[in-house]
Amino acid sequence: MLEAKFDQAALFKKIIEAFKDTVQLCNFNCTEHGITVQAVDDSRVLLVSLLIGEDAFQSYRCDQNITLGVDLSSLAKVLRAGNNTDSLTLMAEDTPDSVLVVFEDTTKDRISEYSLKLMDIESDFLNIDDQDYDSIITLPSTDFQKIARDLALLSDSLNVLVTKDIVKFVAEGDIGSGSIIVKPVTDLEKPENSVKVELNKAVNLTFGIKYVTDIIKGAGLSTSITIKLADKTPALFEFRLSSGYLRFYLAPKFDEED
Amino acid sequence: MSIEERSNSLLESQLLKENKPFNYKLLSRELNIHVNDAKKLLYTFYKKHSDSITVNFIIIGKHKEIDGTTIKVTENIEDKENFQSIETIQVYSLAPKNITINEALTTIKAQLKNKPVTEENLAKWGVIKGPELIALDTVLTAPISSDKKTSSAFETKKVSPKKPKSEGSIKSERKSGFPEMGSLRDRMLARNKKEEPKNAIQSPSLSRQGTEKIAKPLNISANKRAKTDPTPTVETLEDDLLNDEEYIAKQKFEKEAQLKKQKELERMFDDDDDEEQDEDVNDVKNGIRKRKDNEKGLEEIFDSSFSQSPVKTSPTKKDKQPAVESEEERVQDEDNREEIDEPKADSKEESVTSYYDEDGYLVTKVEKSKPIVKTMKRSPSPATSNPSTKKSKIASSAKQQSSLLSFFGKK
Repeated sequence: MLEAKFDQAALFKKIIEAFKDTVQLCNFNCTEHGITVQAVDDSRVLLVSLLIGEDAFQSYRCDQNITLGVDLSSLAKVLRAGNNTDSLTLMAEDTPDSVLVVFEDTTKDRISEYSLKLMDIESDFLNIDDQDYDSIITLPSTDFQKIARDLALLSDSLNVLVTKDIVKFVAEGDIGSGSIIVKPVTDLEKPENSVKVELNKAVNLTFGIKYVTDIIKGAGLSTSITIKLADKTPALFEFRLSSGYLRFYLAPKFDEED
Repeated sequence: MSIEERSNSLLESQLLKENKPFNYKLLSRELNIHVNDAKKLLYTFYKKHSDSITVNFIIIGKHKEIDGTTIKVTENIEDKENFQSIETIQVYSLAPKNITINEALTTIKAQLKNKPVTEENLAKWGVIKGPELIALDTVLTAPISSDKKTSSAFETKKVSPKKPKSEGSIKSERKSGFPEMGSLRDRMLARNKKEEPKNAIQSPSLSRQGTEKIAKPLNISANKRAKTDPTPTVETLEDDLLNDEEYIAKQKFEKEAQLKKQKELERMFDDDDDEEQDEDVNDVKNGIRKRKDNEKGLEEIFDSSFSQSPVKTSPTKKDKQPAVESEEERVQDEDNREEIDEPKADSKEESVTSYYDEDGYLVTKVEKSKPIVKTMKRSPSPATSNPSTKKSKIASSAKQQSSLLSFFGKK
């Protein structure tokens, strides 16, 4: 039996909004420690990895591992019915054919319940090993959101260059080109505005910008985003949750001869 | 063990260890004693542990602003200042410091439901009796009506109605045809609490099979195909796979349609000398192109009536042989793509360009198109939806999207 209660529905709504455009169907794996999702987009270029830790919930109980195969667009529809300040409880039996989404408006004493049918979803689970990255960049998620949106207007490729503590985002397209340079900044008053750049080795990677614009939909989840880059390796974009994370792994574009 | 000892050990384990609030009703029911005794016991316990727990009081008396007797449950004893006259102040509940009064009340209410109330019990615990027995009824129904509110997530046990109703009777109520008013969540909790394997038997809809049927069409792999595959190619492919007769018939039909349009246009422009030959070629061109793009019809007719403009056509009879081959290869390519699902250069694709030279001869050029162009088409590119300039083609085609599968192994 699963019973997972969010203090506020807003968190779960944001999480689903963040990756519902990347994948449509995915399995929510519920264990005693929390809920995880791993899903790859249709083109197998972008991978979503979500962990909502036990502590992110107001109360959490999961007696045995449960897999909830969910159509995210349907889930998003249901979630739209709840107010952000409502509490949200996910409930499912041990071998569920549906998941129950319960919103409770504490001030009005109103309870709304939605039962969402589940489906069997076959998906490959990919092994993602921890690895060392050449460069790790942390910057305010809204800044990165703006960078990606602005450059997406110019090109379908985003080139990320990291050298000597400077991060440069470049897009070259039909109408011209654009580049945005970001340098490390430490904001003591508002640490979330700081930009941190760790560099072991210069990095030059190119990504499909449309995937990046999918990734930035997670910006509402965290004030900052961490980007981990290494040559010829999928980049890791991470939004941290109060307990857990939402990660995107994005395969880079290569030169033809590679 | 005396009642006081029992009470102390119970409160200690619940309040201090398990972090749960406790009120006099609960204590009275747990220990089967009168509520007034329970209040006293709570107070004694509070005096011992006043540093680690908070206490909530009931103040009964005449409030300064409200008429009549007021009963107030408060965590702040100073509230008594607001009362004109006070009848009693009693301990209502004890709670761990981190739990607010509202949380405490909800939790306790939920727990109270687990204690069946019988007339006998009430006599022992103490009950305020009205002139008639109806009073008992109201006591009984009140907590039931609050079922919904109180069944919070804290509560993990089944909420049992006061007059212990057998599960069977609940079931029969449900079957009566009226939609279930209770909360789905409560039902789920109730079902779960019993933990019987009935689930599967009672509701066949729970079985996995049902879900599979719904889910199958939405299978992830099916979806994937739809998005990644270049549909235009598939269309042409199907066309080419039609047997010759059908193909010819189709051609004829299109030819006729085109011919009509063509004549009309030519009447308008009236500047073509070698009409016959021109028509033939144009027909083939137009026929094929129409299949590819119906919307562009008019524009293309304009285009092709000017014989100088280079036009892409499908192979004419002469070229048919190599074309079929290339189609087959494309089919194979398709298959490969399904498995690997990775952008793959389609190197063998040929593009045929034919136009009329200055002397009016038909010139047909067969070119091997660059694989890049195809990749570009497939790679989703919001920015290059319009025919892009040469420069940008080079820029964006220099890189090819890699797949995650080449980095992460399957489990």
